[in-house]
Amino acid sequence: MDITVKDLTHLYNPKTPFERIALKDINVQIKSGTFLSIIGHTGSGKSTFIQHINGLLKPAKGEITVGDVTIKAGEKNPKLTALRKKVGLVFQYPEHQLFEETVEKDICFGPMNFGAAEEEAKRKARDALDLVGLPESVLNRSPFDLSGGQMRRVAIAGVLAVEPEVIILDEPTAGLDPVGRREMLSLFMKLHKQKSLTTIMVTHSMDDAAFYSDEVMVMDKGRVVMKDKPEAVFSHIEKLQSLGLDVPETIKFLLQLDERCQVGIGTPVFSIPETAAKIMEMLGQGREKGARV
Amino acid sequence: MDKLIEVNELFFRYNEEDQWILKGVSLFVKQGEWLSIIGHNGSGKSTLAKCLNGLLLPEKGSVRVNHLDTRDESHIWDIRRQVGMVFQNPDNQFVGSTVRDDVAFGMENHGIPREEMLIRLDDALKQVQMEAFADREPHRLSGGQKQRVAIAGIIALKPSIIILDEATSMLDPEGRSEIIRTMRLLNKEHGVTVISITHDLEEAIYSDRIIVMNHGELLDQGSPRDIFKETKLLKDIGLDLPFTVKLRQELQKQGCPLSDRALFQEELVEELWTLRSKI
Repeated sequence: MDITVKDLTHLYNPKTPFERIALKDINVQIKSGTFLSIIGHTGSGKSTFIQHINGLLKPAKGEITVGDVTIKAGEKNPKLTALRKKVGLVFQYPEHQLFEETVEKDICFGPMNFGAAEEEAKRKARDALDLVGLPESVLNRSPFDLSGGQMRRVAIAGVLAVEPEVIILDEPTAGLDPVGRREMLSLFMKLHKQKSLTTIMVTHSMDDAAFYSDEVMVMDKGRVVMKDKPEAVFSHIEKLQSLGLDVPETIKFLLQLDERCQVGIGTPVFSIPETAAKIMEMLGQGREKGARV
Repeated sequence: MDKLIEVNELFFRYNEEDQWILKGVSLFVKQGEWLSIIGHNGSGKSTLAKCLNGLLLPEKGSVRVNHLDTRDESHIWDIRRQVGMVFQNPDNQFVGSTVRDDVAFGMENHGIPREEMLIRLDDALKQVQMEAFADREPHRLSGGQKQRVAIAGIIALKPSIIILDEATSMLDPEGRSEIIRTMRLLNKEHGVTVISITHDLEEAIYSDRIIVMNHGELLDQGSPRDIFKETKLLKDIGLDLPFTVKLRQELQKQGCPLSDRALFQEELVEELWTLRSKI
């Protein structure tokens, strides 16, 4: 589902002495099927931005179009139910929002809220549970008896059961251990491909942004500073650092090595095997140069 | 070697019907060290941390802080003053309406006289470099600043130990390095003992010692270099390896004749550089 954002501006506490610009003149196009990561300092506007995409926040200026729904500043909102069904938002620590007596009831809440009959909702709940890799045996358990990682999966299943076409993740791996993080991210990668989703992920991890996304969008002080392929974004190292952001570990290492070897790091790479291959190449290159001298 | 905390055969569970969360953990914490405790979610790390300052009490075994037993009610306030704790969520630990009030809160609770309080307040805010924010409202600060205020509230009580319970996990990279910088300073310059419960292995490699927890038991302990030599053991219990170790292993796999030594990025860079000049 294509998402188009035109001249979007958002104000906090409008028309009060505390008025503050949260987002300023944002123009962005997110093509259907893209995996986009959003990075930026705390307070750069990432969360405010994503909340516009499913109509939780309304623009002060500009417009947002998601599929065939357009939300325009100053105009009455169109029917948001359709939009919210298509755009699933997974908040930070989604497990804090579980509330039902059983896992099944909790996952069914979404689909039934959007008008599904009980039987249909139950079927969707089972499918969603399968997608997040939990066994059916947890359906009748209380979500609060599960482990933290399982609770998060249940909360995500609740969003998936509504069968959204766009999924927005606000720091989906916060608080997880390294293995839990990797599992969670492969889960989203799998869903992204299987269900042809458009995925938007807000993250503080430069490594994850670099490794998983088709595109990375950098925000600062409510504006979009860059939006490009990870290789392009993470080539602007000084710019990122001036925004208080980091670069992926792989790049940090290559830069350190290059300081000693002076052969240049070329196109950024983000996986460990690719980095190792590049290092072998850098070492070899040095040798050739030496031979020529 | 001065043992500041001694944990002996500690068993803990939340309810009598439940399974043990901690199963016979024995360990010690040395004066002035930076100790990291790693382990996957649910391994008992945070429960262990809460036992160390008497927020939770052992069902069997004992925890002693400076020779005081946490089960002895007459010492509990002294123990909690000595062992401060910074929690994960920066938004859940504020009570005061200004930074100054918030830092003073703990001191008021401990009945510290006003004149002394004023001195400690300024001193604590200076140590975390938040003196310019004394009159600000805590909820308007960034995550890293909030955590530094929480740390100031603790150091105002002159603790011997500060426990970071995943205190950086909700922060952005900048906030994270602010906290680590502040804590290193307190550790090195002021001799505060630090216990850091963390998933961040790039932080853990800088500790003096690491304890690995698994299913409520202490699985391994040692220097970072020793711990990350046991790569198979760590992988088996679902833990990751530091970046440098992973890259080093991949380079070895691709035929680069490296030693098994490098733990820090700089060390691997040096070794690669030496290799290159030899070629």
